Amino acid sequence: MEKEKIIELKNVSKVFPNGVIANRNISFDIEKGEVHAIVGENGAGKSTLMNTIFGLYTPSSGEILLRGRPMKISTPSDAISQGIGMVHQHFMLIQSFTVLQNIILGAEVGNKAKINYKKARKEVMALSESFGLRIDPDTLVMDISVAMQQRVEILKVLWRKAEIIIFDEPTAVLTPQEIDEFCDMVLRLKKQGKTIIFISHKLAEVMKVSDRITIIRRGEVITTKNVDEVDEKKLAVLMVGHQITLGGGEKKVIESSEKILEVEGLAYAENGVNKLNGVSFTLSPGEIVGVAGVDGNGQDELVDIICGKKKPDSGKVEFMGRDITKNTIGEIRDMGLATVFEDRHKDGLVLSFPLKDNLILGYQARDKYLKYKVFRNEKAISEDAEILKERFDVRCSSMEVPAGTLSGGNQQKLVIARETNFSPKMLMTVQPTRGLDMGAIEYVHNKLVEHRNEGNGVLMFSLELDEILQVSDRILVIFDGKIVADLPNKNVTKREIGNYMLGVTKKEDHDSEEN
Amino acid sequence: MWVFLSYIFTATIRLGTPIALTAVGACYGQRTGVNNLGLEGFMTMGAFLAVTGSYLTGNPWTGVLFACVAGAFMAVIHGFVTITCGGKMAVSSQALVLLSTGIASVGLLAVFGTMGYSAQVASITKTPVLANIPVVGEFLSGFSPLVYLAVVIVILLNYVLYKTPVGLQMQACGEHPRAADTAGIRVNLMRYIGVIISGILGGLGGAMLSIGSMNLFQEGMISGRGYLALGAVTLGGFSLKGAFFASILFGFFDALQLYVQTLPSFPIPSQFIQMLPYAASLIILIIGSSPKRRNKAPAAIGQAYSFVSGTR
Repeated sequence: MEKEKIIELKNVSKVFPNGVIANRNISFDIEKGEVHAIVGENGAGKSTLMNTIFGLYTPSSGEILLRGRPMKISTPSDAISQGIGMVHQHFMLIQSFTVLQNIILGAEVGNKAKINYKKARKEVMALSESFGLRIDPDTLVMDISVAMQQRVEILKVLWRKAEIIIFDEPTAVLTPQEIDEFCDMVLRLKKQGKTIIFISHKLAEVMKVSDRITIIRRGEVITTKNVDEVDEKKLAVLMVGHQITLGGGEKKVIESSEKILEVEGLAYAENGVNKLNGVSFTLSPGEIVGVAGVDGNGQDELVDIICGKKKPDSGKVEFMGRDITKNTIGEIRDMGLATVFEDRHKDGLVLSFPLKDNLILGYQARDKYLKYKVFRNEKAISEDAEILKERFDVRCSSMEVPAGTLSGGNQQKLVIARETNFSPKMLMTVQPTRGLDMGAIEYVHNKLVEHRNEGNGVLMFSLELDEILQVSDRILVIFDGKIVADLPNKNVTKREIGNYMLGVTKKEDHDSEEN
Repeated sequence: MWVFLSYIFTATIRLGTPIALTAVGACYGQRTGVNNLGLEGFMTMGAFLAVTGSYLTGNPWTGVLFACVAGAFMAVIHGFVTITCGGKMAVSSQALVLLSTGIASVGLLAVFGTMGYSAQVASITKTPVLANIPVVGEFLSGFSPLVYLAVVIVILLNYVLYKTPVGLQMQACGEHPRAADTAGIRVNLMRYIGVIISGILGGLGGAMLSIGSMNLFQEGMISGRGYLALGAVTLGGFSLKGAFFASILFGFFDALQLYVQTLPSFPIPSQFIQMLPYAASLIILIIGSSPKRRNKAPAAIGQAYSFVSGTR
């Protein structure tokens, strides 16, 4: 028996006023009571599509059928009244309200003259129990964990009696345990008869909870598959459009006796706490050195000292044979040590500036970008921007749009494009693929290896062990402000690195353990 | 001593109420997310039209009505520019201040044929009904009915904001308009209501100054009280009660200033004394604006949520 189609999309397109085509001729359907995943890379148009179904955007053309009838949704309240609820990627919660207030907001209990909080609390708690969603109704939202905030969001949707629940990247903000709990919860909701639309680019969860999967690439539907027809690998290929190989590809052998970077006995303390306790290591041309470690073991301080943001209490940093310990950030960058910082929004880009201006940040005083050594050379800046856009495959409508409008992957491409544009002898990257999807990660890895193959050094800090193992020539492990391991990346296991990271194995007893 | 206290108390209430009315309204508007920096202009219009209304009909309550309508009308302009079109709130506010100053001078000439001052009109500086209450009746009747109206309004608005569904929804619009929108709340409608309340109360505040404590309009008579009201909102931690009491505090310094001026052969020149309320408010604001208090500001204050400007 054919299941009832609860939502049908027919040739839905969405073109934004600035000309960006987010969705093109999208057609697929969602059956009642299923968990339907929509997967695609960052910026593929998934969120736009869901916002269209939810009524935050109106489609430029095409038709959406809801329970067989043309859907007339122009505002979120229309969507709510027709039983569609959405749990947004960035939670729609009011920080200064209590959990209870957030849940009932817009659908209050009581009469027009007075909210009946007592009754509301009772009903909300009953609802939360029936779905097994633990909450603390009288706490302020600003004081609760991200996982609980998500439960509040879900309860908000259930409180409005939604039959169709849209989850936009629900697992992006959760820890592994919370993700497991989340998956259980989705299956519980399904059991209670809800229809779930689940947007994600994390394929493990998608495989775990979905019945059917629709793949979107560059704003178009590629295909819809039953979950038993595909596996994670196949999905990844469909999503990105080609086979994914992480690790950056072939590495040329580059022999060199010189050193690009020599760090010697760095010590640094902040507020009386020792952050670095004698860090020493080197970096050679044609080498990617990966620094692994649990967050907060001195990585941030080490990065800040190498790039010139902080000054060490003792020890020195030599770059190309020169002591740069006392140099400023700008001087160090001009010598050819470029840094891609962890937080691209805070340290990498000015989100409200156009792309082309972001591409010269920090390099704006180079002769290339100046006219008469004083004025901006608009022509050169624009030309350069176009070249970099092409070479780094930055997907945008023009180089004039603000950086904030790009997806995370494209923003990261922009930062890497800028920092490698002047072929720095050394590139330092911190968590270079944080928050990126597979396609973008592959791209970043390729660029790092490319830079290495040109005879430069790459120092990569990462919290992802897989990434460290895939990309590095040599692996350093930082623990408690010390480098506790310095190993060539040959026959090293994840477990081995993990033990160093947790301080279980010490440098001294490494040999004895191997015997 | 009794005379002094009684004088200061009466003057504090008389001078604090216009600021309080305006500040409570402004606070209400801000809680829905609309910043109205042009309160000075709203008060000017209110003060002028209250006198005009009273002059034209002989009934001061018509004046009060005129003042409220004028305030609401200006609020709609401010709302259209900032809420519907997503324009800059500071710019719109300043335009309204300039507009109202202009209308008041031209209006003086058109209605009264004078410059600088209006004619004297029927006013409501006393509440004779209360004179019948034993013991305190005479004292209480010495205040304008607008003072009592102000107290009622604060209590009423406070109830609406914190106890009713609509109040919760309004607060949501000031904290996170997109969240409010996704919860099915008509954000811009709520914001219009907020800004119109702020407009009406601003006009009422002006009326209190012109026909509630005097019987004429004088150019420049607002003399920065609109801005003091804004300060009172911040000092009051963005709660209606807080704004009310902060305004009364400003009124107290104004009263003190007036009292000192009446002292014979006071050694300090009167110009310095007149500075007192403003200097005091500046100092109070610096001391009182701890980061903790500033954090109480609605999270989305001043952020437009408009299709026109693309902020929605």
